[in-house]
Parts: sequence; structure tokens; C-alpha cells
Amino acid sequence: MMVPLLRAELRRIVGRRGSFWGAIAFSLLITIIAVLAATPDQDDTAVEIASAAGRYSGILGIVVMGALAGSYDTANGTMRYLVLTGVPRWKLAIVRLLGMMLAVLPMAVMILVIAVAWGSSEGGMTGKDVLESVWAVLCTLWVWGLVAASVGMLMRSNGPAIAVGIVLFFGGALITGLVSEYISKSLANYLLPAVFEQVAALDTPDDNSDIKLALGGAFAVLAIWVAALTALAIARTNRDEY
Amino acid sequence: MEPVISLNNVTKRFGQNVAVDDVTIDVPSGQCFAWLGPNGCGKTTLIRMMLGLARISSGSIKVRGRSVPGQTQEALARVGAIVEEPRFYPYLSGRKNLEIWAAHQGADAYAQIAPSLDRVGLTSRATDKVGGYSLGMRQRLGVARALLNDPELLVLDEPTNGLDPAGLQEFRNMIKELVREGRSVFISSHILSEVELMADHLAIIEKGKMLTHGSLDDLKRGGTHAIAVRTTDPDAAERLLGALPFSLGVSRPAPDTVNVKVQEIQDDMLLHTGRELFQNGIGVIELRKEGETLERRFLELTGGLAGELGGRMGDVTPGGASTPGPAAREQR
Repeated sequence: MMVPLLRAELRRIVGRRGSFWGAIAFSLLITIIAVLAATPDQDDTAVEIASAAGRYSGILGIVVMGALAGSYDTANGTMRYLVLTGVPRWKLAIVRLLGMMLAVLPMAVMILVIAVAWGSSEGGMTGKDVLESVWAVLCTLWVWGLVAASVGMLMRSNGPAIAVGIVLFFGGALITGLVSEYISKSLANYLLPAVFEQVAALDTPDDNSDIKLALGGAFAVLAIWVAALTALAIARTNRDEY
Repeated sequence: MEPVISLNNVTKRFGQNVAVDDVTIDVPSGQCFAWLGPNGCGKTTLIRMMLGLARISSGSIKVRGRSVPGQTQEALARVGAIVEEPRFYPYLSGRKNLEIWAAHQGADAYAQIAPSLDRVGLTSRATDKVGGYSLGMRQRLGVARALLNDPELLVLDEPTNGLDPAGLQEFRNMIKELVREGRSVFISSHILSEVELMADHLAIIEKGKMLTHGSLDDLKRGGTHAIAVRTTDPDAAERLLGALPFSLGVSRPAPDTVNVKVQEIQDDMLLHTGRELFQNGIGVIELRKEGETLERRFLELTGGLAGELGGRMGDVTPGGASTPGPAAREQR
């Protein structure tokens, strides 16, 4: 039963061509600009530069795509007809989140193809570099895709959902910095943007960095953040009147 | 036969506001049942509760013998619906939209896509994007979607909105055909003439309260009749006709028309009315019987809601409430 639902969800996401293809095109454009403009060295390899450019620019598109995936049906009035099919509401919500995780894959693949191709042409690329880049890209797009879709489900309206998603990403880094500077450095390490960065980069704590959480702990905190947001979104979908 | 919908003391409150007020009714299966009332009277709220889209404040609902919300999934398994407006993904074609819903309803629903489109006359436009559809076409696509799960019960909220006269005719025929196939159809409407042409049973609702319900014929029979007089001097006619012995009251449905409400029209009443007008020198342009209409009954029950019904009432004007005549005073 899940497969046809996922297929239908993907059809809905891809059907919103502006947000889907716009997100991919923007991310690819920035990745290509990075390839043309940057000079790789031992610290920043070609594959790292390209994948970082792709995933960070991709977040913007993913936030729009995810917020729309989460809020569109409620805002558009189609949610009540999905509920009327008799499929449990929690299942509709989970399908939406899983659909978002699948919908980011074309973008991830395209970013990685460019990154690996550039890395190969520059030489000196290791398997570890490639695996780290694959992880960083997937982690970024999945985390922000889930966060944005959850925000969309919570907000129920397209515009506010996109705005909150964007603020959460860009403002989140600022808030983390402010908390770290003025309130508590250790508290800042538990905030979503901080743990996300640590997990995406697979950073382990050392004496010279501000990172205080062990990598396993960062994974756990990130999982709690994502699980809490998605659980709230599912709970709202279950509770709402349509 | 078990009712297809059972409402038992159903109430819905939004804060202090009571949208649906203690409604109890059994909707018979295998018939077209209409929920009739002006805009904002609680029809859609009731439908949303019936379909598990909104919570009930108090009372209980059963659809196809299953309680809602307790067994909503089972209750809705063979229910098709349009609630408020038929909404779709405008960036997808009509057929792809139906495929999305069929994906949620199983393989049998896929098999119903082509016949459903055919039934509502949208086969030739099925590959066009829904964004380019007119409201009437979206209504028809909404019915096609409602038919995907081979429903025992169709719940259609204001289904004739946006349909042109030819579309209305087709729609009425389709509803009759669906009922002939043994399905139950529950429609809500504020258009009296539409309901009169489609429904077997109906309930009248105003401000969340159900005023009456029953078969169409019973409801019409429960009302009064009228003698309509178009005259050159309506003010004088109104005074004169209000004093006739059989008058239950008079009203002015149009500036030049006076209606004399009577319990049952007899030919000698018409003769008497004409003679009185003639003897008093009041010019008569037209003198006719007003038959039993649902519209008249509706106005009697609601105290004249023509204004609220946005001119959908034909010849009835706001303030159609009548002045009681001698027969009415005698009855009291």
C-alpha cells in the first residue's frame, strides 16, 4: 500500500515544476560556478568544494520544495479529499515525509556527479573523500527536507511555511551564534544548526574547536530534533479538522 | 432497511457559536436525500462531521452502520464526496488527478477512472490540466473522483454550483441514475428548485437547527397554498384580500402582486376573489393558483429567508412574511 502512495506523493512534488526543477537548477548552477571559480588544494579538495557548494545552495530550494510538500494539500483544500480516501492520517503524513526524502535524490545525484567528475579530473581524489561528500550531501538534503516538510505541515499555509523554513536555516545559524556568544557555548552545541553541521561534516571534538559533543551524541541530538519536528507534524495532521 | 446515515443529537460548537444544534435524523438508504438551507446555516459543518473531517462537540454519527469517528476508515470505504468545493492539483491533468486518488484507494479504483470520466462527460478533456478547467468541469471531475471507489453513498455539498443549464440537466439525470443503481445520494443545497427536482427526502435546516424533514411530497403537502393576484392597485387589493373570509394572510411577492394564503384552493375562492376585486373597482391583470411548492413551504418554515438566499428564490422578495387574514385569526 505504501508504494502507490509514495508514487503519488512523488508525482505531486515533481508536478510542482517550479519548486522542484527550480531547486535543482539553482543548486546545479551554484555547483558549476564553484567548479569554474574555485581552486582546490589539499585542505579543500575539488570534490569537497563542489559538494559543499551544491548542498548549501540546495538547501534553499529544498526548504521551498519541502515547505510546499508539507503545506500544499492543506492550503489547497485537497487534504480533505486525501483524508476521505480512508487512508489513516498518520500514514498520509509519513508518506509525505518519505516522499520528500526520495524527491531530493535527483538533486543529490546531480551534485555528486559534478563533484566526483571534477574531483577525478583534478586528481588525488580518494574513496574516503567521495563517501564523505555523499554523506554530507544526503544528510543536508534529507535533514532540511524533513525539517521543511514538517514546518509545512505545522504551518498549513504555503507562504508562512516557506518563510519559517528559510528563517530556520539562515536565522538558525545566527541564533546558534548568539546563544554561543551570550548565553552558553555548550547549549549552542545542542541547537539544530550546530548538530546538523557536526553530523554532516562528521566532525569529532578536538581541543582546538568549539565542538563539545561526541559525534555519536551529535547524531542522537540531531535525530531527536528531526524526530520531534516530524512527530509534531504528524500529530497536527492527525488532529486537524479539514 | 438500515439508514445509510444516522445522526443522533449531533451538535458542533465553535467557541460560543453553535454551528449545528442537536440534529437527530435517519437518512434512508437507496434514495436522494437533500439537506436544504441558506448559506452559513451549518450544512457543510454537518457534512464535515459525517465524513470525519471535523470533530463532533456532542452526539453521535453512524455512516453505513459504522460510527464516525470511531470506525471512520470502514465507514468511508465506500463513500464518495464533494465537500465545499472540488479541489484538485491544478498543475496535473484531470486523469492524473484521479490516478493520485486511485493510488490511495487501491487497484479497483484505477479501473474506475475511465468509466467515471466517461460518466461525467470529461473523457475528451481528461488530459488537460485541471488549472484550465471551468468551475463546472471541476464539479464534474469532483463527481468522477467521488465515484472511484464504487460508492454506496455519495455526499455532495452544493454540487450544482457552476453548472450551466445543460450541465444541470445532465447532473440531475446522473443523480437519478445513481439512485436507480441502488446508491444513496446525500446532497446539500440552498437552491430550492434544484432540490425539488432531485430529492426524494429532505431536511430543512436554519441556523444549525433542523426545522423539519420528511419525503418531498409530505413536506409540500404540509404547507399552504395561495391565490396570486397581479393588479393595478396592489395596496387597495392587499387591504381587500386580507379581509376575505378564507384568507390566512396576504403577502407581496412582487410590487404589483398580492398573494392570498389559503389552506386549500377551491374554485369558488377564485370566483369570490375576482368578484370582490371587480366590485371594488380594482383592475386585475392576472389571477392564478399558486401550487404546492417547496419554496413556499420553506419560506413558511423559515419565516422568509429569500434575501439570504441571494435571489435564488425566483419571484419571492425579502420580507415575504404575510399579514394574517381572518381565517388565520380564526384558526388561532
